[in-house]
Amino acid sequence: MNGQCPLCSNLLEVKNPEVNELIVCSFCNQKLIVKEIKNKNIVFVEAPPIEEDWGE
Amino acid sequence: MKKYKIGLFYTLIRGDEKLLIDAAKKLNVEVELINIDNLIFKKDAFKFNFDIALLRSVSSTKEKYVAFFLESLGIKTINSLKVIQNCDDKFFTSILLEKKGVAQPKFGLAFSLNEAKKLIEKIDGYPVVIKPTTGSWGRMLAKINDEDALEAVFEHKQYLNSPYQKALYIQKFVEKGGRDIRAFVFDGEVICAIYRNSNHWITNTARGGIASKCEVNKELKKICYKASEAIGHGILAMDVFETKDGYLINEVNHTMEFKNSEKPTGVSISSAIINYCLKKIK
Repeated sequence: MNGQCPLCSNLLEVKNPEVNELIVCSFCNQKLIVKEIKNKNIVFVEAPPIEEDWGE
Repeated sequence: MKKYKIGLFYTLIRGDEKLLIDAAKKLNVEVELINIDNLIFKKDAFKFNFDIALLRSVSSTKEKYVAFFLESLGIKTINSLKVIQNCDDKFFTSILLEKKGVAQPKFGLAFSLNEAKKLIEKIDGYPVVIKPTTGSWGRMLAKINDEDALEAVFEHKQYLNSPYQKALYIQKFVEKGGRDIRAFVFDGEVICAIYRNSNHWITNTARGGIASKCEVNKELKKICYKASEAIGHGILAMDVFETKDGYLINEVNHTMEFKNSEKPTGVSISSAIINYCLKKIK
């Protein structure tokens, strides 16, 4: 499935996308998450900033 | 034969969670994806329809609350709250390892500059590493080579908002020759390991460290087992230093990232996690 990077408009393809999936735009390197999947199109939004307690 | 269902609690779906979803499919195990941010954690408002909870939150704060809540309802979680708490704070982990006699870098904790200076003398002086007690991916680590650098870092920390940044967890710096080991340990057994190679003293793959296969030897198995026992077992990722005197356990992680480690090791860590969950249901 495809969707557009909200920052640079690059077309991104994601295999079996899941809502809240984290991906990196292959053109502008922005971290994005899958907000929703509408009519087989992915809607991306910018990923939230990393917080202090994030990690392993 | 009963088909088991795993509740996969997440905040973000990373490459690791995608691998887990794929592994479950291959193993014919049902996975319910549960977004922690969309739930109300209240006994009478929480309905569940899974056999075990696999906790994969990127936020350790959320993970602890979820584990505590689910365990209060009698739901088995991977990892358990105890293991999460024991790993989540680096000072707690170090103390537990020390109690079990597990070799690790010299360490201590102080809250003031003067006491930090005294502590550094007690761990054989500079260089040392100051780490936040919580957090990951090598963030906000500082290698301190002398007292001037200590004073500068201490002053900067006073302006940070988090109270955790006021706790100075200090470790003796260990020269690791451009690499360390990440071992994947399931109930004390090392299922595979990688070297994390980097020219930088921080070797996390999240910071550009390159993964390559590490053969697991008897000594590595032994120290990882002991460390796992100290933490309370579960699924753990251990960071290990190689020194001329043997291995040292540097850190133990409770919600392991493994997407960069399956290819070099040839081991499906994601399948091992799903199988581990199945084993714990039965």
